[in-house]
Amino acid sequence: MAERPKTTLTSPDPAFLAEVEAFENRTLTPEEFSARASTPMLAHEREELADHVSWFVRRHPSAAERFRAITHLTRQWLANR
Amino acid sequence: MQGDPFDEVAFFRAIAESGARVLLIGRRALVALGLPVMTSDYDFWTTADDASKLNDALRPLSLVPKSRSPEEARKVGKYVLEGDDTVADVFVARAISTIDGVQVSFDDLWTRRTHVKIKDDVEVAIPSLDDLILTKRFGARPRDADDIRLLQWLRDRKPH
Repeated sequence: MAERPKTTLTSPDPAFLAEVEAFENRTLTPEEFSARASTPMLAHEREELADHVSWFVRRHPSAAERFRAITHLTRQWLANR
Repeated sequence: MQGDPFDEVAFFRAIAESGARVLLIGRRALVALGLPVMTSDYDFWTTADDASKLNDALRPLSLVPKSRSPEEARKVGKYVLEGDDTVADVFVARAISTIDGVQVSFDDLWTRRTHVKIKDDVEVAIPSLDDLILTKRFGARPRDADDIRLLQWLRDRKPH
């Protein structure tokens, strides 16, 4: 049986990252914005969100703990992307 | 959370005790309400009169205004408070316009504000849910629209 090729993960090209960031931070027209903001949430999205919020608040009961957790996670994400 | 010396309780206690009218807005307000969204900084809205009180209160915590003088900040409508590992964007304006051209007044939001407990006896003022949704229309990024959906979900599930 042929050996499976190894997958090597590499950091994305900084130029590509900058492009993605610019896309995420783009300015929508008022019409685009309203359409996106008023997209109804599907039943499974609502359920998942309720689960996430319930877990988050149980795990981090005070706002101070929630701030600390989010700061930590965001920094971790920024460092590893 | 090792390696994170920032003391959120001391930070918000200093703001509360400053006597400045300051609203926590942006994604941190969503986090305060229990919504798990990513963000690395704090966003506040205050008035020019209250900004100096806020700055004075946060100076002992090594958070200082970056580059802009109070006059410049007033002109531009925004400045940045920067500490060793924390950044806070401070909007300084009596009113801010949404992308649809609706003027949102600080005084109105302040009147309708609500409070979130940070920990123990420390609280922070945030806009009401409806007003927080309105502040999300100041910017027009996709994530602002996504945050509105989250806030609407939160508003709709809350008992009236």
